[in-house]
Amino acid sequence: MVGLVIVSHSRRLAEALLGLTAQVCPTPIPVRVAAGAGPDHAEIGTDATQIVEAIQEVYGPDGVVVLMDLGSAILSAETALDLLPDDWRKAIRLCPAPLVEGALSAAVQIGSGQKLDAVCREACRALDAKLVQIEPEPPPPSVPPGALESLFTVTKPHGLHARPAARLVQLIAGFRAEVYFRRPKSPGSRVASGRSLTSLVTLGARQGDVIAVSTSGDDARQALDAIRDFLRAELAEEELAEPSQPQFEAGRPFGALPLSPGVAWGPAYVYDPSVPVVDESAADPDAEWTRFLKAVDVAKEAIRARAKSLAACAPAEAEIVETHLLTLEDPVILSRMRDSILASRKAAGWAWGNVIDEVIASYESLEDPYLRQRAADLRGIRTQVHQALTDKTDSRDDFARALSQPVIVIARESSPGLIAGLPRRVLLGVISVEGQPTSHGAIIARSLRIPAVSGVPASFLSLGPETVIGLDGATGQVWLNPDAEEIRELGRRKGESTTSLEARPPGPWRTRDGERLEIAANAGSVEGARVAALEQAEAIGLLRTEFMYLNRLEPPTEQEQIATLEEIAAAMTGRPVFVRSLDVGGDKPVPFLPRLPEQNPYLGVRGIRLSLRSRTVFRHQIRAVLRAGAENDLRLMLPMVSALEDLVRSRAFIEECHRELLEENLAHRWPIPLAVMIETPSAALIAASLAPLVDFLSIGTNDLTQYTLAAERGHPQLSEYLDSLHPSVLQLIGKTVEAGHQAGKQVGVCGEIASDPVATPILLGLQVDEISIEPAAIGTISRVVSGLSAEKARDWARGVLKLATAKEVREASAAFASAV
Amino acid sequence: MKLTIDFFIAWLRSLRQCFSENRDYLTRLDSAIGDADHGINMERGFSAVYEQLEKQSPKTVEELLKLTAMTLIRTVGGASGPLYGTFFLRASAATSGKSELAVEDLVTLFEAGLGGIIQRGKAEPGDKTMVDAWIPAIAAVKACAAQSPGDPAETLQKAAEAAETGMRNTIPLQARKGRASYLGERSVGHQDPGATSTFLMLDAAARVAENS
Repeated sequence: MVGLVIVSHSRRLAEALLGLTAQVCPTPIPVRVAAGAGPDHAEIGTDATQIVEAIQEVYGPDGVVVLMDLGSAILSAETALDLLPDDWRKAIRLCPAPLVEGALSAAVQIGSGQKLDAVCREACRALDAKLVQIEPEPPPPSVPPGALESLFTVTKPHGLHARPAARLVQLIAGFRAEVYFRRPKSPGSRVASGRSLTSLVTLGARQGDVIAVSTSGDDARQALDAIRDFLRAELAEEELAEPSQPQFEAGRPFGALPLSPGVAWGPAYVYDPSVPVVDESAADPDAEWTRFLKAVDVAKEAIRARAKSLAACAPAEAEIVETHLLTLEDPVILSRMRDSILASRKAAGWAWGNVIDEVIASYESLEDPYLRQRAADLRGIRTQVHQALTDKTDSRDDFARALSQPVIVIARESSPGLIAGLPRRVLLGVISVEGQPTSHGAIIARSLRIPAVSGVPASFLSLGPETVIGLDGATGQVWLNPDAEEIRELGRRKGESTTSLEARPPGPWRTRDGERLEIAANAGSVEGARVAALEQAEAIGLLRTEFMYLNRLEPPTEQEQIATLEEIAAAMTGRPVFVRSLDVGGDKPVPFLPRLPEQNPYLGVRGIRLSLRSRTVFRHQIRAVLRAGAENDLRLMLPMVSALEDLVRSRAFIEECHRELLEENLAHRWPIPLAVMIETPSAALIAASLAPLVDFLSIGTNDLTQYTLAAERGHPQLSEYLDSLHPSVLQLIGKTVEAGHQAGKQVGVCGEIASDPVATPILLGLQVDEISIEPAAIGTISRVVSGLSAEKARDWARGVLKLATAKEVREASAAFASAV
Repeated sequence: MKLTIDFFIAWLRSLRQCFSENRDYLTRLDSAIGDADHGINMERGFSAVYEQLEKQSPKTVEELLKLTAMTLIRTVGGASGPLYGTFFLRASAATSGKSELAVEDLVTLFEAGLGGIIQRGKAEPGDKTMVDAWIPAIAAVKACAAQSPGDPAETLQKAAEAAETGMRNTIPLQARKGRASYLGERSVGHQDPGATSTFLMLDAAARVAENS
C-alpha cells in the first residue's frame, strides 16, 4: 500500500483531517501526520525532521505521497527529501493537491490499492469538484464503443453522495474494466470515470435521476454485475445500511472454495498483471501486422517453455498448457486480427483486446461450466500477447526474481500459466478471487500439490506484503495474519496432511545401504526456520540473512540481530544453523550500503565483496553471529568468494571481531565453524586451497550454474541454458567434493538442484555429505534418499560426468531411478 | 583573529541573545507583511542551537554547522527553518576537512549556503527576500578576499554593512515569494524580515570577530 504523510502548520488541523479521511476509508491505510513546531509540536509551524520520521514510518515498496498545506510546509517537505537516502526519493511524491480535498481523495485511492502515481494524480484532480462549480468543466472522458451498459434510477434521498461514491470507487478498483457513469437523460451531463471519486460526486446524481453505467475491458461483465449488486443494495434504500465491514476478521478463518488440498502459510504476495493501455489506430498497418505476428511468436515461445518445464512432473497438465498454442494458431482469430489491423487500420494491441474479448465472451456465455472455465485460460493468453506487444518481459519472471522467500500468491485468477510458470520453491500456495475446481489452474495445482483456494473477496488483491496468510486447501479456510495459536493449528493440520499424504521415515536419513546424507533446510526468516524445524530438517544449511536488512533505512543493530538469530536457533532446538553473511548486491539494493551503478551487477560488488567494503555493517553482523552463538550452534558462511584473498581477509576480519569481543568481555562462540560458499567456477577450481582455511564447503549451485554457463539467472530467454544438471556444473561439484574430502572437510550443496529429486542420485553419487533444500521438499527428497543405494550411485555417477548435455544427464538419471 | 571553530561557536552562541533582543523588532516587521512569526521562530531556533552547544561539543566547523542546521530545521517552524537550515547544511559541507578558514573560504561557505537558500526558496534577487541581503554581503566578502592577506574581522564588518544596505533596499520592493507575496503592491514600503535576520546574523558575526 502507498503511504500517506500529511504536513501542516497546525497539529490540530492535521489530526482533524485524519479523522475525516478515516470516514471515507473503511480499511486502515498507512498514514502519518507531521505538523506543528516547537516542543510537543503545539505551535504553528513545520519541522522537516518530523516529516522525515513520518515518511520513514510509512515508507515501503509502494512509495509515499506527501500532502502539504502551504509555505514552509513545502520548504520543510523538500528539506526532508534532502535528508532521506537518494534512492528513496524516486518513490516519494510531494503532491501539490489541495490539502483537505487531496487527503480525502488520496485516502480512498490508497485504500483501494492504487499505485503511487495514480494516487497522486487523482489527489491533484480533487480540486475539480470546486472548479466545476465555478469554472468550465474539464474535457469529459468518453465511453469506449462496444461497452456493456445498464441503467439505474437513483432512489436514495441523498443521491450519489460522497460516502457511497467512495465505496463505489473502491469496488471498481477491484476490476480491470474501464467503468464510466453518466446521466443519459440530462443533456450536457458529463461522463464520469468510475475510478475517480471527485468525478463521481460531481456527476450530481440525485434522487430520481437515471444513471447509466458502462463497463468495457476483459472483466467488464463481472464489474457490471458487482456494480449492479451494489447500486441495488445501497442506492435503493434509505441510509440504513452500515458501511461495509471487512468480510473477515483476524481470529476467524474465512471460508473460500477449496481447489487443491494441502496446508500452507506465509507472506502474501499479490500478483496482478495490468493490461497495458493501447492506442487505437495504427500508422503503418503492415508494420503493425508484423509486430502482432512477432508478439504471437514470443507468447507461443513462452507457452512452449512452460509446457516443457511442466512435462517432467505433470505430463497431462503440460498438454493442457500446450492447447493454449492452438488459440494463437486459430484461423478464425487470426483472420479477424488481419481484418482489424490491415483493413480497419487498428493498432495491434487494441485489435487483440477486442478480438480475444469476443472469444472470451462467447465462452462465458456457454451453459457447460467446464467449457466456461476455458475463458480463464484465454484471459491469461490475452495478457501474454499484450505483454509481448508492449515489449514487457512477462511480469511473472520479474516477480519470481523479486521474491527472496516463498510466498502465498494472491491473484485474480489461478490461471494455469501462473501456477505452472512460477518456480515451485517460491510458491507455497495460491489464493484467487475467481476460479473453479474444474479450471485448468486448479487441476495443475492439485497435480503439483500446491494448496489453493478461490472465491476470496477482491479486497485481498490490495493486501500488503506484511500480511501473513494461512490456508487449508482441503477445507477452503483462509486465515489473515494468523496468531501463534492458529499457526500451531496450521502446523498440526499440515503434519497430518503430510503424514497421511506421504508417509516418510523420520530423520536422520540413510540410503538403502546405510549411508548418511544429511538433509538440511534453507531459511530466510524466523518463520522459515520454524517451518524447517516442523519438516524435521537436520540443520539450517543456509540462513539467508538479507531479510534483516532489506526495506529499511538503517542497518539492524547488533542487539536486534542477536535477538533474531537467537529466535531462529531456538526454533531449531539445538540443531546447527549456517548463517550466511549478507549477500546483497546484484539485484537487491540496500539504502545504507551505497553502491556505484554497475553494468553487470552479477559480476560486480556483491556478497563478500560488498561486506569487505562496508566494514561497519559487516562488523555488526559478524559480532552478532559470534555473540548469538555463545549459547547456540551457529556457524558462519561466506558468500561469493571467488579468490583466496577474500577468504584470508574475511578470516582476519572475523578474528579481529573476536578480539574486540574478548576485550569487551562479551560472551561469544570461538572458534566459530566457518563455511565458504563455492559459487564461482574459480572457487570450485581452487577448492583445494580454500578447504584448509574452513570447516565446511557449501556449493551454491544457482550462482555456480549462471557463472559456469554464462547465462543470467531468471533471464526469460535463456532458461534452456540454465540447467544445474549440466555436466560442466556437475564436474565442478565433483572436483569441489574431492578437494574438500582430501582436506578432511565436509561438502554440502544448497541451491535449487538439491530440491530436485532427479538430481538426488547424482549428488549422492558425487559423495556430497549434506544437501540444504526448501523445507517443502524434505518429504520427497528423504523418500528418494531412502530408496537409493549409495554404492550404486557412486559407480553410476562416474559415467554421468562424461556426458555432454544436461538432457543426457536427466535421461540417465530417470533411467537410473527406474532401475531402482 | 582567526576563523577557527572557537570563533564559529562564539558567533552561534551570540545569536541567541541577538534574536532575543530583536524578536519584537522582527515580529513587527513580519506582522506588516507576513504572519508575524519570524522573530519568535528565529529566537526559538537559536535558543535551541545554544542549548545544543551546552550539551555537545562538535570537533570540527563542519560538525558544528551541521548541528546548527539540523537544530534549526527541527525547531524554527516557519519557512526560515528549512531556509537557514539548508544554508548551514550546505555551508557545513563546504568547510569539510578545514580546521581554520581563510577569507577565501568564507566566500565558498557563504556561496554554498546561499545556493541552498535559492534552491530551497526559489527566490531571485529583487524578490524581497533574505537573498537580497546575502548577495551584496557575499560580493563584499569576495572583494576582501581579492586583497591579500584578507583580514577576517574587517571582511565580516564589510559583509554586515553590505547586508544592511541590501536589507534597506528591500523596502521599495514588491514581494514575490512567501506569505508577503499575497499582499502584492501593499508589500511595498516595508523592510523584509528575512533580509533583516540575515543582516542581524552577519552583524553579530562582525562583532564577535571584532572582540576576539
